[in-house]
Amino acid sequence: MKVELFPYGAFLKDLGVLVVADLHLGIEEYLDSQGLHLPYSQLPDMEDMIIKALDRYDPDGLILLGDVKHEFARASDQEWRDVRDLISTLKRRVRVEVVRGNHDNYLIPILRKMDVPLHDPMLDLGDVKLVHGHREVELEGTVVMGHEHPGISLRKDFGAKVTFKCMLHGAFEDFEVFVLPAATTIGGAKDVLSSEPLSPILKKLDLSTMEVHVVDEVAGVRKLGTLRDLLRVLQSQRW
Amino acid sequence: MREYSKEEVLRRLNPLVARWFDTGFEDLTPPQRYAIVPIMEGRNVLVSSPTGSGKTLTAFLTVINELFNLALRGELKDRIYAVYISPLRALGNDIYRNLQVPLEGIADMARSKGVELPEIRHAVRTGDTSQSERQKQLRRPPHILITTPETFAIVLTAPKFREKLRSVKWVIIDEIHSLVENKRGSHLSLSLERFSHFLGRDFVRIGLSATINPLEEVASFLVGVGRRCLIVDTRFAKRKDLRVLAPVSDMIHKDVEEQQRKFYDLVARLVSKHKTSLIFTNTRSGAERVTFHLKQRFKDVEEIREEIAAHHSSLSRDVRLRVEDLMKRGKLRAIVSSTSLELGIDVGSIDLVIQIGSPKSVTRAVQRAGRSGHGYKGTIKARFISMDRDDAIELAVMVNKALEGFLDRVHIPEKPLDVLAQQLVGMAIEKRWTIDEALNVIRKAYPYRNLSKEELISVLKYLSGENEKLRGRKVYGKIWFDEEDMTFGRRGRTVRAIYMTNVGTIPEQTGIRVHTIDGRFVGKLEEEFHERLCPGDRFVLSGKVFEYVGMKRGKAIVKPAFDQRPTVPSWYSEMLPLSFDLALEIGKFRRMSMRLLADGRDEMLRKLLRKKCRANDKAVEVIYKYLKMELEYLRSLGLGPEDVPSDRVIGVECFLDEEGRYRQIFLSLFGRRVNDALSRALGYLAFSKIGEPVGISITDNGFSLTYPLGHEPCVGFRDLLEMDLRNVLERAVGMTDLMRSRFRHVATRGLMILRSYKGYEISVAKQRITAESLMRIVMRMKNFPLLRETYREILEDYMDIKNAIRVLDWVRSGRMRIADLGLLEVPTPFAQSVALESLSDVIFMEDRIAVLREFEERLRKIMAGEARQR
Repeated sequence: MKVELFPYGAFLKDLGVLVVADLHLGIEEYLDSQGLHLPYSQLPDMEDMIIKALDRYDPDGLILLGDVKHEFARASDQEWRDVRDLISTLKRRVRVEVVRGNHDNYLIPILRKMDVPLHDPMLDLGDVKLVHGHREVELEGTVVMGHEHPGISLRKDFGAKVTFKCMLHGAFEDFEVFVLPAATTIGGAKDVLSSEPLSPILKKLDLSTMEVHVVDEVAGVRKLGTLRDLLRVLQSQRW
Repeated sequence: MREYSKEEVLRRLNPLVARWFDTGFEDLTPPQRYAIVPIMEGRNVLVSSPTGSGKTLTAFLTVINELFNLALRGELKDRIYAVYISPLRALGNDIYRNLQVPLEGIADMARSKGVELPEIRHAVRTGDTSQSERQKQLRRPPHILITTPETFAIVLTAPKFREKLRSVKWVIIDEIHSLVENKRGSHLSLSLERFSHFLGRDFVRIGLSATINPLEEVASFLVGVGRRCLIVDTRFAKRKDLRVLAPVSDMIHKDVEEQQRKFYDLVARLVSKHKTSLIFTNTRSGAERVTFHLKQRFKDVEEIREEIAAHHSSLSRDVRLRVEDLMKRGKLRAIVSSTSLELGIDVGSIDLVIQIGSPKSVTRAVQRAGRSGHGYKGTIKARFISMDRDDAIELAVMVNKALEGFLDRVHIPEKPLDVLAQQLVGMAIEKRWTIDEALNVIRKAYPYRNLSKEELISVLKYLSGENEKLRGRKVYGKIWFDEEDMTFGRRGRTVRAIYMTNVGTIPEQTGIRVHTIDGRFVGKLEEEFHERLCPGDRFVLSGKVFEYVGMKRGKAIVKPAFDQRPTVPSWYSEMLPLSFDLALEIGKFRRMSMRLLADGRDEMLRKLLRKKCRANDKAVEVIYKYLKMELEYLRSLGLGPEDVPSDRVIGVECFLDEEGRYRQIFLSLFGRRVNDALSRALGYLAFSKIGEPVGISITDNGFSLTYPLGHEPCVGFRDLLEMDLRNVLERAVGMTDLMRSRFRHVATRGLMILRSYKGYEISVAKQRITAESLMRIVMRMKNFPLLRETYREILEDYMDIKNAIRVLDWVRSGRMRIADLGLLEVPTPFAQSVALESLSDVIFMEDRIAVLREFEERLRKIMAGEARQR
């Protein structure tokens, strides 16, 4: 399948839809409750980012691929407000649909109120399955998922390290998998080289042949190579 | 300052107290002779003298006397009359016990005369004090409160308890030397001013200090601005028997194991010849290692083996208390400590201090040595063992200077804004303030005497959540600040709880725990080091090589790779820095000895080392050979004694390391705090020229820049003369690990990041993540106070920019010369320790595009290479 990447999501050309995963709206209020105080900056940043992509691709639809909001156990005030603000802004531009993620327990009433379709557990389009990624799925055709917050840490001389968000693409024998970068602007990405995968889907796969595509606001989008090759380069480096 | 006799003191005391004192003590100790009467007269007094000179009783005698006077008159109320503040909880407990003696003794004496007195109470209140005990203290306050700086700040803000402090007449600050140089001290100085303002009057301030210099400045710190203080200086009252030892006379050609053996032979010999030895190492791991080997050495001598114990801050509280108890009861033969026993915890009687390696400052050497010698009449006896050649010279000069009475100057942090922010929240909780009233109070604290109104306002703006970029005001708005009226006060009810649970200035340090794949714990890695690792890297931990596998549940997972070579260098951060003052003395010594050697007066040099520096024969040989070799190497290059790095010469040389990279060495003998500043500024310049990361290594004797493969040295020392050092350094540290970790500490002290919230502890890992996000945001803000403070702390406290600028001025004026030796096959002897030093940090600005491009290039090359092989 043809996929175009942007920070931070993907345009699925064949389907004409834009997919954005793992927004985690309202995470600031959650962090507040944990005593971690960050400025509330995610909503405006996220809005800018998605609008830019809408301008660029002019898609038929926008699919939010799970974890639209952050808290498991409730919908906080900020979540209500942020989700409502974001979706109503976006709805004015494009048809919006949501695939349910593991953080989205209390999202249903908000979506119902706003008349936004919710796909649970996935949006199955036959050849293409759009899933969040926290549950197993039958591997056939094309699977597009989020959940993983993939990142890749690259190193320069003397060990200076920089982490980039990335998309992972795996072309296996009779199916292919796309793992999208997380859209949330708070909390970095997880280095796929030095940690085990979170998603039960990825746990079953040999990740070493998956291709890494860096997606970065400053550096843009670049295809790097397979995880196996990247690891070899990192190990060849000296400090 | 006038001396008083015992009779003069006794005459001024209440007869009961006088009798007790007279029967217990034959004579007054030196500090008692000078300080007791002035304290009685209500003067502020700073007492500086070695341990065991009766400082504590000096301070307390007046307090005890007046409390008994009140008791006799039936005027003793349920109030606090004296506050004793010590930096260590353990010390507080010691004092509690030590006060028991006079309080009970005098009461008994009264009873035997038929006088029944109300009990004079004293109590300890620290972070360890239980809720019920605290309640009890509120109902029946102790007459003497023993506490810590942090708890003092808390009780000062507690609405009910602080009322009990209204009657306080004396505040005693013990071990003040361990507070002046850090932010705990800045914090305490503000607490004292807040207290004085709360009382609406002054109280008597009594400071007790080990050897420190200059006393005038410490006195100002104690009493604040505009108050007088009597200085009682009995620092040099004790006689000193100091010696510098080397385990072998050749530290280069003898193999390492042999040297190790000789070293432990030496320590063991010293231990068995003395009753109780206190051994100081410079690191905790060092203390563990020495304890282990020493026990091995005495494995056949059970009575000694069992009487050797380690004592350092990484040990559990229980273990520490047990060791302290054995120590006090004189049950230990040797105690091995890093820094934990530097302070005045009662160590029982010690007849020898053994210092392993250089303690890096004359003052510290004197303080540590001063833990030996019985009472104030005893002789201080200490042996300094050199571990390498630079160490030997350092120790020789140190002992020489110590015997001459030289002491390094203290460095008092200048108006740290993070501590101010924390205290302002405490002040706002108390009441509503006008800016001028607050400024008046704050400026009385010595570290804040130069605080500007603008600085105060910038902190208030931050605390009130006024900064536009920090949206989510309710979070940061701990206070309200009215810019019209110029007033501020507390906002919201949760602020008090946040303040009470987050008071303090000591940053939490944790490391990443390292486990093997099968779950065995191997040790800890510094977070900054761990961040740089990639799977497959091999590194040394606890003396063994491991391969990094990855992260799992917050732990680093490794597998053994014992027989393989490490692929990444080790990483050391904060070590004790050599003091600038002592560094210059060492430079002077180098210059003078080179002159002697050049004149062929070798014997004179040897004699000087023996007599003035108190070096044993082996140490004399080590130092002599080292100096001689340096001179001969330089002569072989056609240079002379005047080119040897010293207090007048900075040496520069260059060599190719194992990897074929250029390593440029600067022999600048100014201590690592100055070298840190110089190296980062120069490293930044090199980085800007070549656009690639530059590795820096820093030691006390110099620093080096390592250039990436394919790049030649492109900067020289003189480039530093052209730059605005402060400005360049701020840019250079901008994105480094150092900046990130220090910003976290500053933001935590400034209550931007909390350590504790609604009863939950916030993990250091979470604090770090928050700090990184916050730093990105505040970096864009102009003059954000906590960011300014981070730069200040790094440049002034961690580094020593003031003296770095002085050094540059010396070069400019020609007083200091640069001797450039160019590219050498082998580094000069003096450069070898710098050449061997591992990486300290990397100067690197994040250029995301460049990183990616370069990585792609490497990837392409590797792939192409493989295609050819196939």
